[in-house]
Amino acid sequence: MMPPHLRGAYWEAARCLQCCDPPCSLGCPAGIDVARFIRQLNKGDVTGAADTIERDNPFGLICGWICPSEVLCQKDCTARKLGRAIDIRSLQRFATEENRRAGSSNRFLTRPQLAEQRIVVEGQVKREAPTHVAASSGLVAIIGSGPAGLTCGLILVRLGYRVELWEKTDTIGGRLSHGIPSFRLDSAVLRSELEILASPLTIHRNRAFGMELGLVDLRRQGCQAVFLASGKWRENIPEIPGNQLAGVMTADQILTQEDWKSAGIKSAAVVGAGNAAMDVARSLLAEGVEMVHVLYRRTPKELTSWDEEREEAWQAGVIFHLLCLPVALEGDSAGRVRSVICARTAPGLLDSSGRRAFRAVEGYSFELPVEMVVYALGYGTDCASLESQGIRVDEEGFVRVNEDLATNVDGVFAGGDLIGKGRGTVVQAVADGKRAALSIHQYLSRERRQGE
Amino acid sequence: MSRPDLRVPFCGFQCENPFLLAASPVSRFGEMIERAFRLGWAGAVTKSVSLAQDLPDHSLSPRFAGIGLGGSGLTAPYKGGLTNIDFRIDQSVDKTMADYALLKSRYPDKFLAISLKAEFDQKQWQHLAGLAAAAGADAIELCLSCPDPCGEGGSCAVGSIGQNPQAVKEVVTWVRVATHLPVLVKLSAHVANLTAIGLAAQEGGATALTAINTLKSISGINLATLSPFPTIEGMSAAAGLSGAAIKPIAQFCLDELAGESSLHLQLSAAGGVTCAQDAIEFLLLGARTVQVTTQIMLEGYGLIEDLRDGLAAFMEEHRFRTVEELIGAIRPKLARSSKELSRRQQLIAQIEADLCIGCGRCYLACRDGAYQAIEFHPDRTVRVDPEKCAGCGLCKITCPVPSAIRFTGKEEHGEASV
Repeated sequence: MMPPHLRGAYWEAARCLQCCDPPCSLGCPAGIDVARFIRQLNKGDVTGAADTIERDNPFGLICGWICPSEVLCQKDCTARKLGRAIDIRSLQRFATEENRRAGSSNRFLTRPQLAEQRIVVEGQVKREAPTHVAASSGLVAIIGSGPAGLTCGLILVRLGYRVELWEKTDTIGGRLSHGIPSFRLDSAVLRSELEILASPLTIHRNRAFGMELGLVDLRRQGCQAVFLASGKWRENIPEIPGNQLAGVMTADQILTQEDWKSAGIKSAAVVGAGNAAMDVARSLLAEGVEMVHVLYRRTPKELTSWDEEREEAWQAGVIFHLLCLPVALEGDSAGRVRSVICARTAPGLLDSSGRRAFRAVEGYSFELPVEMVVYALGYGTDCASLESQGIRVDEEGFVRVNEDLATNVDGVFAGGDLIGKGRGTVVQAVADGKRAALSIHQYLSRERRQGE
Repeated sequence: MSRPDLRVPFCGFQCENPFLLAASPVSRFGEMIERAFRLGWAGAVTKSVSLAQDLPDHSLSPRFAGIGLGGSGLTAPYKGGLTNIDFRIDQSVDKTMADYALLKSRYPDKFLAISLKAEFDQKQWQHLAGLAAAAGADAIELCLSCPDPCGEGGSCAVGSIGQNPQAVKEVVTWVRVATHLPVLVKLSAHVANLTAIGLAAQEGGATALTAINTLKSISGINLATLSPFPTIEGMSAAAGLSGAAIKPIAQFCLDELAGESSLHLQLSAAGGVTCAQDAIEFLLLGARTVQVTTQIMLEGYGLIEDLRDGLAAFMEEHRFRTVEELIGAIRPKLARSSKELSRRQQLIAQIEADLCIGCGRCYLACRDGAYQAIEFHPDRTVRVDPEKCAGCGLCKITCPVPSAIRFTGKEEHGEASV
C-alpha cells in the first residue's frame, strides 16, 4: 500500500509556488529540473514528470527513496518561507513509481534519444547536448558498477560507444547494494531498478581493478578511455587495545552480513555519528538490540549525518554520547567484548577539513558495558591499487581530478566517492557519471579528429 | 448595539435568515430537509416534483462529475464545482408530496417552497400546483429552466419554456389561477434577454425570481479511456454545471434583474455560494434570499453555521441592523458599463520587502502578461519600476503572500519617494 507521504503527493505538488528561477532546480547535482517535474505532477502529467526526472537522473526512483533533499533541492525552497519546504524527494518517488506502475520503464532508457544533459555545479547549470557517434566508434572501460559507473556507461552506450564494465563483487550497484538498510530503501525496488539499468551494459563481475586488471590490460583489450568509479571501501578503524575481541565489527559487516543477527546481542556501541553510523544504530535496534549507544568525539555542531537521519535514529531510541572517545575495549574470559572504555574529549584546534580537532582529556573516562562494538567511522580509498597504476591520489586519499574529472593519466577519468566530493550521495555519483561520460565523449571525439 | 436581526421577509413569509436549500439533491426528501432545518437553514425549495417521476426508470449512474481547477484537478477535483445529469426523485408524486406535507406540519416556522416541473401543459401544471398547495407549501417554485438536454433533439421540453417570455408568462398564469400561493420562477442564464423573461414572469403574476439554474456544460474527458465524464457505458452528455465556477455568472444575472427598474419581483440568488462572503455578496447585489446546493453536497448542511455566523459578524462590523438594509446596498456602486468609470485613479504596485518571499511570480506575471514593470534580481528581491507600472493589479493576484503587494496612488507614490 502506498505510504501516506506519497498518497498526498498531488496536494504537496499543488503547494509548490512555481517560483521564477526556482532554487530547487539549481539544487540538484544531477541537474533534474525539479520545478518543472513538480509543475507537471500538479497538472496530472505523471509520465511527463517521470521523464523530466529520469532524463537527467537514471537513478531518479532510487533517489526518490534516499536522496538527502533537505540539504539539496529543498534547501532553498521558497515555500520554506511560508512555513515548510516542499517534500520534493517524496514527489520524485511518487512520480517515478507511478510511472512504473503504469507499465512504463525507466524514461532514461525508453525515451527516443538521449536528452540534452543538465549538470549543476555550484549552483550553475551546465547544459550539453552531445551528438551521437557512429556505432562502435570506441570502447570505454568502467571500473565499478555503482551509480557513477552505471550512469556513465548508460550515457556512453546511448551515444554509440561500446562499454565494458568491471565490478569487483558479484553484485552490481556499489554502495547501494552494500550497506543501505532495507528500512531506507526497499531491496526489491533496488534490485528491480538495478536490473533495468544494467540491462544495456556488458558487465564483468568479480573482477577487481588493480594488479590483475590494470590500465595496461584494459588498453590491450582495446579500451580507449577508462572511468574509475570503484568507490571507497576500506573501513577506518582506530588502533586501540581490544580490537581483536569477538563482537568487534564494522559498519559494513552489520549492514551487509546476517550472522550477527542470531547472536542475541542486547547492547552495542556504535563508534561514529555519520549517516552510516545512524543506519547501523537503527539496524541494530531493528534486530532486537535493546541498548544502542552512539559514541561521538565531537559536539552536535560537527556532526556529519543529515538532520533527518539523526532525528530518525533518535526517535527510534538510539542513545547518543557526545564528546567521548573509545580508548580501549575490555573483554571477558571467553574473549568477547564486555565493555568499552571512553575518554572525555575537549575541543582543540581546527583541522585541515575546517572542523575542530577533539582530543581526549586526561583523567576523565567512563566504562560502558556493551556486548558489541561497531566501528562506523567512514571509508578510505584503496590507494595502493590506484597508485600502482600511476594514478595520483592526494593526502586525504582522494583521486585528483580536474573539472572534467580527468585524472593525471591521459584518457583515465574518475568520479563518485573516489574523488571525495558530495559526501557519498547517489545523486552526486550520478552527476559525476554524467560529467565523466560527456568528458570521455569529448576526449574520444578529440582523439578521433587528431587521428584523421 | 444589539445583535443584528437576520430575519428577512420573503414571499410573504418571515424567514429566520436568508439561507435556503435550493431545489436539488440536498432537498430531495423530508428526512434530509429536516436535518438541515435543525441545523438552522431557514427554509428549503424542494427537489422539483414532476409527474414524469411516476414513470418506472432508473437515474443515470454515475451522474455527477467534479470540476477541478488548473490542469489535473487531482487535488480537490470539485474546487470549480460539480456537474450533474438527470437527477430525479425515485419515488412517486403522491409519496413525495405526503413527505413534504409531514415535514411542513412539523416545521411550521421554516419556509417550504415546493418546486414543480412539467411540460408546457396547463393540466399538468395546475394539477401539480394543487398538490403542492394541499401539502401545505408556503410557496411554489416553477422550474422553467432545466438545463438538462434530456428531450428530443437535445433540448428539454421543460427547459425550453424558460427560453420564451410568452410561454413563461402563460405557465405562471396557469399556476396563479390554480393556487393562491406565492410563485417563484427559476431562471436560466442561457437566454438572450434575461430581464425579458423576468418581466414575463412578473406579468404572469409571479412573486419572486430565482436566478440562476445550473449552466449547460461538458464535464471533461478522461484521457485514459477517451470517454467523456461522467462516463456511462463509455458515453456521456452535456450536464448542468454548479458551484464556485458559476458564481460570477450568477452575480451578473442577479445584477441584470436587480438593475431593471420596471421589475419589482423579489429576488432569490442561487449559483456558487460556498461561504458567507459569497452569500453576503449576493445580498448586497440585491438578493433577498440565497439558495445553496453544491457546497452542501461537498461539506454537508453544517455549512449553515458559517453562513449564519459570518453574516451576523459582517452585519455587526458594518453596522447593518437588518438584512433588509443589506439588500442591494452596493447597487449604486455598479456602473452600467466600464466606460462610466473614472480614469483619474492611477495606481502603482508597492511590494513590501519584509513580506516578500522572493518567489518571483509577480515578476513572471508582469513580464509575460502585463507591462514588464517588475524587476527580479539575482538575490531574489523584486522592485517595481514606477515609470512602467500601470497599476493593472495582476501582480497582487499572483502573489502567494497576503498583503505583500498593495497599491498606492501614483501621486502619493511620487511624494513618498521625494
